[in-house]
Amino acid sequence: MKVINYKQIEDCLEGTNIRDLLLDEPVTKEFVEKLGKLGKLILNETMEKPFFKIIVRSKYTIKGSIGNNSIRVMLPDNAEFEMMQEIINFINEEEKS
Amino acid sequence: MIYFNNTATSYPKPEIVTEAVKAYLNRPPLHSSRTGIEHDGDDIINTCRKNIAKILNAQSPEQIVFTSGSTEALNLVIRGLDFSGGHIISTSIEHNSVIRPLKTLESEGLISVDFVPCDKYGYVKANWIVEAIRPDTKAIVVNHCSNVTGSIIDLDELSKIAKNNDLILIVDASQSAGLVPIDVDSWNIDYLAFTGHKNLFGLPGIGGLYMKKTLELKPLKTGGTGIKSEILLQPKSMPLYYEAGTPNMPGIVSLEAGSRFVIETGLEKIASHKASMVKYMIDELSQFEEIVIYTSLENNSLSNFCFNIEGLVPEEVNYILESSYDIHVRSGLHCAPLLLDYLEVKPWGTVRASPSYFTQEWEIEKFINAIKEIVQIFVRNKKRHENESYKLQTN
Repeated sequence: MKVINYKQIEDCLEGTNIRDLLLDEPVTKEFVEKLGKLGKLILNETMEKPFFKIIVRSKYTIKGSIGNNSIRVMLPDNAEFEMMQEIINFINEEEKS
Repeated sequence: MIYFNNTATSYPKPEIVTEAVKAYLNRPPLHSSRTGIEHDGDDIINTCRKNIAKILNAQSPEQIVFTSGSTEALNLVIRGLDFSGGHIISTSIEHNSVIRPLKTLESEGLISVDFVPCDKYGYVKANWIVEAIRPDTKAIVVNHCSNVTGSIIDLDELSKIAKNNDLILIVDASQSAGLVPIDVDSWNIDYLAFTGHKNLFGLPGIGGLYMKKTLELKPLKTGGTGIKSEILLQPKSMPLYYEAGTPNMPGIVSLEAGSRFVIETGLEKIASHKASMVKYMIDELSQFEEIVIYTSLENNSLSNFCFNIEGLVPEEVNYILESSYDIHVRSGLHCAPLLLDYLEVKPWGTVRASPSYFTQEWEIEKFINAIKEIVQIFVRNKKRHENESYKLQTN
């Protein structure tokens, strides 16, 4: 899985730094489980299109739905770009067998 | 995909709008006048002005000037009149397109401004405005229909208050033009701003201003008019005085077709369809104690279903709807920050689902079922899980 683009989301939410990451292929359960290693994973598998959320305490939240080509990252207001880059690097990193 | 963000921009547009824009773009701009293109023996700009005048019940199309939208129209009137040293009354349901120009004039020391409160559904009773009138009050600037809750102010009553107190009445009709009956003539409205891309089904970037008395405002911009070019000052005739620069022809063409669609279909039919869709949402979802609804069945256009789900921030509800159900709504402050206090939704705002005239019942049903599922999974199951964990810990 690779991040091919990202964009800032403006949603009338003062004080929240939201980015959508565009991926080169749809999100799978395995990918969600990989992301889950970053923090606390909540996955709602009963939904037709399962929704997940990964809370990395005091840092950021990642969320999305299995089957979509993008995920959302909610960063703190003052987050530096390095934090986003960390997430992108983690996603782009090949799984070691 | 289900699109429920029509309060922001209407989608889909009627077929006659897309066809008209396509035809315009494919035709060479050979005409010598600025109007360029013809429609039924009349030029398209004039036809568009006539359509808008008809929808607003204005006496003459000459009372309509085109702008890039409501924001420019409101800036034109708020900045174009001389309110120096005066007091302006506005309301707490205003959009930033009214709040910011007024607060800017206030910060420049030119005016003082009061925003009259509303109730918990965003409703402002016209009478409440009377209490804010001072000897130095010069104008009332009001939002006809809230873009958040859909509440409507009684302009007939308000216009009498304005007239009795010799106040200028300025109306933001961004949400109501093309949906709610407006009678600028009998309501004695001095200025009314409208936008083209919402209930008039045009493209974004076109709107306008109705003026009871023309040529009293100072223009926001000056420049080319295509005619009377020998005059070195802006020609003081309608609409040239306010329409400097190349007109937004694709916008005007779309607005002409969109407003024609509204006239031919009938305002009542359009409003009644939207209201039946929103009422369906309210009827089904008001049964859930976890759902707080801010759209009232009274004094409301019923064009938006504005709500929150207890325990979930609006952005989260918005995103779950979008990513798991492909339903597109809007969440947040909706550019109406003063309303938050009265709805008690600080700091996150609300979720707003706004169907259109083209919305079908199955789309509403899918939305209702999605919300029911979100409540079950993200609120009820979570609570049950927390209760069970608590029991395990305490046993």
